[in-house]
Amino acid sequence: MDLGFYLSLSIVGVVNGAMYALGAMGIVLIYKTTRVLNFAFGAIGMISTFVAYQIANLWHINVVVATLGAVVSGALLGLAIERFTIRPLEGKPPLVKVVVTLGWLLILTSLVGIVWGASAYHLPIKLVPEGTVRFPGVAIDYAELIDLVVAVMLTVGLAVFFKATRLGIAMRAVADDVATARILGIRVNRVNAAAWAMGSVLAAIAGVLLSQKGKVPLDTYSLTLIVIFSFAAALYGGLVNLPKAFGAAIVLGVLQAVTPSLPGIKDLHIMGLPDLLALGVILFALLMPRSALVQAVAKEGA
Amino acid sequence: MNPSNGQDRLFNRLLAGAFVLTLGFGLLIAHYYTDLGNRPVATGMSGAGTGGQGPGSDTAGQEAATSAETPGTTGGQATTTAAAGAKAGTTKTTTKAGAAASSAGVSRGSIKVGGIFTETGPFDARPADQSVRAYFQMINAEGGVNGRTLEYISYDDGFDPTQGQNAARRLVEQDKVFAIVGWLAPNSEPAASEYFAKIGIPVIGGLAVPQEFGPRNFFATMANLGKAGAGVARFLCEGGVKKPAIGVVNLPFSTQMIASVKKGLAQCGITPVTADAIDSTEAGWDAKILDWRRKGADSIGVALDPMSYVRLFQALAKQGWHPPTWTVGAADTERNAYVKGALEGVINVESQLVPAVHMNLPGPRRYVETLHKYYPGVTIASDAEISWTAAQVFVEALRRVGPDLTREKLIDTLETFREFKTDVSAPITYLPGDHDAVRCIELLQWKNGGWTDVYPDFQCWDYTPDGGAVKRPSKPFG
Repeated sequence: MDLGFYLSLSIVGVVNGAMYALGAMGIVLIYKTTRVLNFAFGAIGMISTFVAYQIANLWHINVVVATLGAVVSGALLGLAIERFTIRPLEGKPPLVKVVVTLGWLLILTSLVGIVWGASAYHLPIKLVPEGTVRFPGVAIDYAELIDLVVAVMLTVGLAVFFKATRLGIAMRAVADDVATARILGIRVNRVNAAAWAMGSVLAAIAGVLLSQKGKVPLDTYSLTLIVIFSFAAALYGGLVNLPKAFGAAIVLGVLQAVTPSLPGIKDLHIMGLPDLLALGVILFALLMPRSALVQAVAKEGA
Repeated sequence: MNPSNGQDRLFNRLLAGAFVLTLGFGLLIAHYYTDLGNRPVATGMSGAGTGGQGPGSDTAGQEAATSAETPGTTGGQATTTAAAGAKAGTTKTTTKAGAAASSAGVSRGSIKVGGIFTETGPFDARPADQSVRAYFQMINAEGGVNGRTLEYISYDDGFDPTQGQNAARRLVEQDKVFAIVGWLAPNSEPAASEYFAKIGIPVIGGLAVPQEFGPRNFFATMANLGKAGAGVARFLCEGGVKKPAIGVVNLPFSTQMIASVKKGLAQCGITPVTADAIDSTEAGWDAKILDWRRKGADSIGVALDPMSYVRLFQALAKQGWHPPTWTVGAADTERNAYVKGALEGVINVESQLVPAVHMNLPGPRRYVETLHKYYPGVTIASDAEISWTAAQVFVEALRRVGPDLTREKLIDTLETFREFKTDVSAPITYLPGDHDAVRCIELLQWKNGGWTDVYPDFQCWDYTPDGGAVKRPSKPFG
């Protein structure tokens, strides 16, 4: 067995997993506060990235300005979604809110298709300078390294945020018990709005970073659907545990990179193997009795 | 009554009702699709099937011509003409129904033509759609063909075989087009081909998927993709490859493409180290390249979609691996600009002349000027030229048939084409029983920031009985 080859693949897998971790952080952030599983997360990232594309590639304005435009548009979109379609559903079953996010997914993908075209022929913006870093047997782009660094920073930063900041603690309080949080003087609507805005900003950042160099095609469905892998990772963390979600994302990335080349599997030419592996992670999270998801659900039901 | 319980009951009833409706519609749709294959076809179609009423036979006459564009098609309108009122068929009897279908879409003043293009998803065939439209608008501006103007209706298949089949049926049964001209929908062409073959409607153009080379009513304007790999492989052999890694975009006919490449390579004693179908959304090019290197590949031969080429070349540059690389259809200058540093030395195969290299020739110049006249700023892409050639072939066939136009006459006339010169392809010959008209390619190499011809003419081949290929005399450009 060529261990050097699999080490190289593992390194590739780690950077791929960092992509998923970027998305998982945003999903966890929104769910941890509002208990809404936001299926439109990828679509928010996608449309924000297209805003950056419009500014940088079509209007030829500075790429940093374009990225800021993506962040601002993501935040505004998140605020709008929360204010006009989620907040009115307070008290309704969570499934209703999930369906609303699915509706937003459809709306946003259709909107992008109408405005910019629904094909995959959109060249990404160039935010990160060209260049590579060599590891044993493999080279990694600066863009991919930045993905990994940002994912690690987000994991740590969000963990600290929830534990040590007033807003973070308020978010946890709202997630635990909305009525009590209100009684304690926490402005629940503002906290939820902040969660959605922050989550959508993370979606925008993830979208811009992931579309660097065309790694994830800039079209109406690739960025929207890559969130499925992020969901798998977030589910493994029970939708509330950031370090577990990060770890699951990395493991999934490594599995997707290494598994197709394993003896016995490589000759099968299994199409859609990355998707199958993500499904496996989801099933594992759902079925294993000691998984974070099962424990989180049990805690909520108690 | 507790309002919450009442609301819950209402919700449950609505959910149950929605479920029943969905099930019902699903069964109806499934029944419709399975019934589709058993529908009788129009009489009077040469080689198109048995007798019976044609699908459009119960509709009389020609309505005022209009064009329908799907969302996503941009940049222009199909030519709209007013029908002069000539009726194509008026009764429901079997023979008259066959006659109606045979000249469906033809009125005294216009001919209605259809097309299907992938404009949503990993491919963007809008330039192909616009190429046909531009050609027809050019012809209409010159007075049309035999006193008739050309009206074009096209649909987007969304890279979905089901949508492609729906679009095919809509063009034939609802829009009642005379022919299909210019068709670029890689994922739905195999399935929709079966329907068009049953109907017997002339189809000129298409991506040349294997299913388009059996029925008599199909006339592709490039080499059969299911066999052409053997021809292209001859040039890989001459290029000195020893252990190539082969990759083909994952489409319904990828297996046949790969098999034909392997057959051609086997003729010169070469076995690829790997030969895979690759999804157009494949993001893991680093892992793939590492795998190819590990298997000892000394060269790469790939036929991919344009954005996959971008990702491939970026990954090759990143990993610092620059083996001899052969591509098919990669002369997309807009996307090449994104990876031009990694393209040096790449050899590319095209079925049509690359305009950027051949603007000195009248054909490519006319193509570019006409396309940009009607659709300023549209991308010049080699796959779009296939549709331009299809439009040119169709118009020439119409001219030769004359005013008394039927589908059978068009098909008969197309089979008389011998070395017909087009603007951007090698000369076209359709023989009875063999519509694989263009077994020629242009070979280019990327040097110093642009494509240059490897040979000064089209390189051509013939097939051997065992599915391999042998070179035959080349044909001049233009």
